[in-house]
Amino acid sequence: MQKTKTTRQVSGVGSSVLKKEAKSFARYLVRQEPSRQVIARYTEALAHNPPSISATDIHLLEFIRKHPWSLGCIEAGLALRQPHSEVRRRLYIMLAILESSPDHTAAFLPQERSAWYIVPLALAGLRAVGKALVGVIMVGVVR
Amino acid sequence: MKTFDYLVVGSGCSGAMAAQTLVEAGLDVVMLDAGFTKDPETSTIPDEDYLDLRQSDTSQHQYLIGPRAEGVAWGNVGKGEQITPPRKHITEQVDDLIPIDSADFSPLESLAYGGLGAGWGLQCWQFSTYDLKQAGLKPAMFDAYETVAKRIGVSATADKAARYTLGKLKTYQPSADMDRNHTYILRKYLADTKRFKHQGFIMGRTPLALITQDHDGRTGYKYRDMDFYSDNDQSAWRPWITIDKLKQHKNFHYIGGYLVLSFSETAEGVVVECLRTADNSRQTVRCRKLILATSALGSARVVLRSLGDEATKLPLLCNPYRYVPCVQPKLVGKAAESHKLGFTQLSLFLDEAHRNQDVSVASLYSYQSLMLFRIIRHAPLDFVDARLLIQYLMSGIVIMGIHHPDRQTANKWLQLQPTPDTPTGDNLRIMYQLQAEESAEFDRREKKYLKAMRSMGTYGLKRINPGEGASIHYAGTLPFSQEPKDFSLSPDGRLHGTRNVYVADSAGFTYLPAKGLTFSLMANAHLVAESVIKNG
Repeated sequence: MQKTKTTRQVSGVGSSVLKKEAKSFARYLVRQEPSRQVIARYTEALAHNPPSISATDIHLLEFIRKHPWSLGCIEAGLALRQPHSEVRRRLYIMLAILESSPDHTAAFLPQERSAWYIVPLALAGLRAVGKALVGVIMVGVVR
Repeated sequence: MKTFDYLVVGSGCSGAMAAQTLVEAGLDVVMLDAGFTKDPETSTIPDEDYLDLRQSDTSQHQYLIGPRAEGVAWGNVGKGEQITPPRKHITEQVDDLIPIDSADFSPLESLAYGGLGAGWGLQCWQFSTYDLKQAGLKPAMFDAYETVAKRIGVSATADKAARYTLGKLKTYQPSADMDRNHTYILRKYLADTKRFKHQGFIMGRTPLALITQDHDGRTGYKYRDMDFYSDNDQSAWRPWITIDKLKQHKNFHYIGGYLVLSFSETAEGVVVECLRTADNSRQTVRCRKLILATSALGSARVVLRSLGDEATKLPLLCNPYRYVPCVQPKLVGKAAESHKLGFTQLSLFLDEAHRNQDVSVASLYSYQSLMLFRIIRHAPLDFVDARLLIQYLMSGIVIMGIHHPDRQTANKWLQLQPTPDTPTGDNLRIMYQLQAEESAEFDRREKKYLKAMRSMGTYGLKRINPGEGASIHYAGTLPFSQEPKDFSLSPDGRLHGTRNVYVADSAGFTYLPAKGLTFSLMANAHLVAESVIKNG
């Protein structure tokens, strides 16, 4: 069996940095604190699925670590410009881990919504467009 | 060296059916197979409802995404994206042991115990008389369908589309209950049947190899909605269910861990060369009769290797396939549904000439148990907003998979080419390109499908071409022929130029109707096995 790489070998950062990253990503995605199990699964998943990190990815990841508030805009910008980027891959892995955790089921399973739910959804759509516009500029600057 | 009487190669749908026929005739049968099996780490799943598991099982990540998120595909995945962690063994070692070299064709093959049948979508459409004739299959297929249906258990409905779905099949159980997405579509169709029929559309319940009532020691479907993960109740037929039962017979032996490479005929029978998958060593076995059931691509490999032919190009058939995620606005914003079925429930046939010839078929699937994250990645949005949007839409999402028929043309072929760095020393070079008129016709039909679905309150978002080969329906590599031509099969499945080598998979089909081939290849395998018995 192939030996699993350590987190430092994989991403060039220590496990404490990845744990912080896991917390930050989970808060961003579902606005909830992740459990220790979720964090552990995230670091193990990254160790098992090693990325090929480009210089741009490293810049973006470091920028996000220093400025967690920027994650939403940068991710939205990447969704348009570079949908398969490493930042999005890591977020996607966290998204799948959260979805397969009973603590976060309500954030993913379909829920009964009234017809008025279209209003917050439309606002979210506007917010997404705004974030993407700002994000495209930010990604250009950071890289 | 021991000589086996009847050697069946491959444990997929056709291998299981051929072996059962031979075993039931009292013959001594050995099944040789690569036979990769499930990983217990990901395939131990509580026998509970999907929604209950999602809310309570703290180990759900093991089977939903894999212990280390191995089931979370990223980038341009194409084929096999829907293979969940408990089904990952289906493609184990395929790239290493049976490599493909192709720029335009990406097939999904299997070396698993149960082959591709371990993840089959269960559709049991019967070919029409026209389909059978075009495919080079005998009218005896209608009786063979009956035999197979009795063995595996089929659920179906004799509705107004029965001519297209059931054909002449008499042995079946009632269809499973439909979920709200399918009920909605069928109601819309039935409300305006005359208009849809005038346009060439016929809708009906899809016959499935899924039992709704207890059958042969298996339990009727429990509506757990765990169909992409678990085989706990064995209501969905899988080839390994049959093979597990055959193992209880004294005249059947299963030998796993071997990939058959080639054969040669001697005065006494057939010598078969294999690769032991544990260490890539080569071994030889002997048999009186060899029955290849390794899929149209697999059998082509074995035959080309056996005849040492690296120049010949064999024909290839594969149903062109496109899929369309659709939204039903009336059904968005609903709570998750229990008592649900993950398999397709409705078939929509497009038959503009009303002759049941060269029809296209759309299968409709509702979307729940494959989870939100698999769709989210296709949205051009940040994941936070995409999650909000798709969670809202999810109860109204339907996937329409459209298959088109396929015929032989000059631009669809395969060839064995030497490749020293592979365990077998070769790979399969494949070219598969649709002709311009084929593409134009299928494009026209797909647009017509989208228009019809809009009339049924179901709006297509985007037509997706997953690439040729994605239908997982392969055939026609060693076509049936009355004349004893090289690289062809006699109508009873014997490889021309041999005395004791038979091919029981879809390699012989000379035409591939859009109505998925699995039920037909099983019926054909039964007939080939009967021919083997008859020919002594």
